[in-house]
Amino acid sequence: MLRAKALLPLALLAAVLSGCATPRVVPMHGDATSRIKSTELVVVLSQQEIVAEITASNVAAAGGGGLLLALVDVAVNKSRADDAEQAIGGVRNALLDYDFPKQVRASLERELGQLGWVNLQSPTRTEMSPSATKINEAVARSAANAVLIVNVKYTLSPDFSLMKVNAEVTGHPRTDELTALAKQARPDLDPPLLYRNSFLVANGAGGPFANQAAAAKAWADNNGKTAREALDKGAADLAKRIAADLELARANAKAGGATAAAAPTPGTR
Amino acid sequence: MSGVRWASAAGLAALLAACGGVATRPMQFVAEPRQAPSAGGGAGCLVNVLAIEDKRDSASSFGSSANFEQFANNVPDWVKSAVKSLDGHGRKVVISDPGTGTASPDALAVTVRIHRAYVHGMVTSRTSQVVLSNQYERAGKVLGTQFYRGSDTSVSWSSSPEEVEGGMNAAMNVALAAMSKDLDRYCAGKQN
Repeated sequence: MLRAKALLPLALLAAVLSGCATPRVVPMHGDATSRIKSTELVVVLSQQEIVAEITASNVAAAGGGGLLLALVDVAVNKSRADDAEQAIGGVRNALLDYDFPKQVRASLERELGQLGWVNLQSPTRTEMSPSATKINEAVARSAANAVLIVNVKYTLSPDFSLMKVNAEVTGHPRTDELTALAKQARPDLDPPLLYRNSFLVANGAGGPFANQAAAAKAWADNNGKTAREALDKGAADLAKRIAADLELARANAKAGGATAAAAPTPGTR
Repeated sequence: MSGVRWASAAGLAALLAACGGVATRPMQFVAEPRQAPSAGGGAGCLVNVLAIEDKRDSASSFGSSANFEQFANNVPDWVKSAVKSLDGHGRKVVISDPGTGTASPDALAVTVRIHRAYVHGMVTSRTSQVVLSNQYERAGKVLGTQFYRGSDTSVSWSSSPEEVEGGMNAAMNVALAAMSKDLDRYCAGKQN
């Protein structure tokens, strides 16, 4: 009972904070799906190679702060980064001739191409710089009605057991009509967005593994066969999930339209 | 006491956050002192670098930060300086002008290819990576191709261009150490 009471202020604080936060997800506006005559796809992939995640040391936060504890965090993070970099070298070498951006582009083109209302333009643009300025310029330069930015990252989890592919996806309006729809749905966003969501897919290499080095070997063996398959699958699954999420808006809009048509309009009997 | 600790932490955080910056100049290579080749290695060996080919996916990308694109743009020149630094210790390294790369029959001819050059942040650390490959030839016959990966992991104190340049140079020096050994080996006619 006492424990529950102690947790109450924390729960209250969490509730207040989450209430204040701007909702991160912006569902595709249903009305927009029938007004997009062309979409340019921009894949942003700034990584040149797979990256090892490390678990950040939190000694300073747990210990109440202080320079010494902050320096402990720095030293622990450096040690973890050293170990991870040592272990991941073989995986990177095995993937030197593997073109992950190409896999991502092909998967997205295949899945989004099946959504007729998206009217996907060709070719897909690839941006290797993480610069927000360059991404904004890519949106501004586009002659399409809408621009879909897919910002992709791929990593190995801290214990190397999972190959993770994640993406931040944003849909940008390029016509007055679509911009008005975006502003109407989410007036708090500047620049206006038609759509925003995050996706994560993860695939394992089997296991369990005794340590990072053993897991890295499993990913790298046979010229990175397992890593290549996991990345191929990651790209394919990511594209499917993005397409499914976009299509959901279309389906909801259709269902809404059907309901509206079936429901008698007041005063027309 | 608690106030002092918070002030220290805030000071460190401010130091870490306030530094950094955008690279506004090309990256400069600085060689580490190298050991002389082993006996019978490459004494009197002429190494003719036929070409330095940029095989990166993007010539303007330098990894997870957009601040160092100026460094990315001049990676081929940086690699050229690095390879040139292998001159000496009984080896003569000559880098041909682009398009004029023909080697004398006796020279060891090398085509250098740049595959990766980038930095990536890892919480409070940073990894610097460079991957090169060399194709070795003599008298028009390909002797072999070797890959060289140089890597450096350091604490990212300021993320300044100087700090990033230092990490990239450390990574390049690791790659060059392996390349230097191979040059000795190929110069001595030992290809395996």
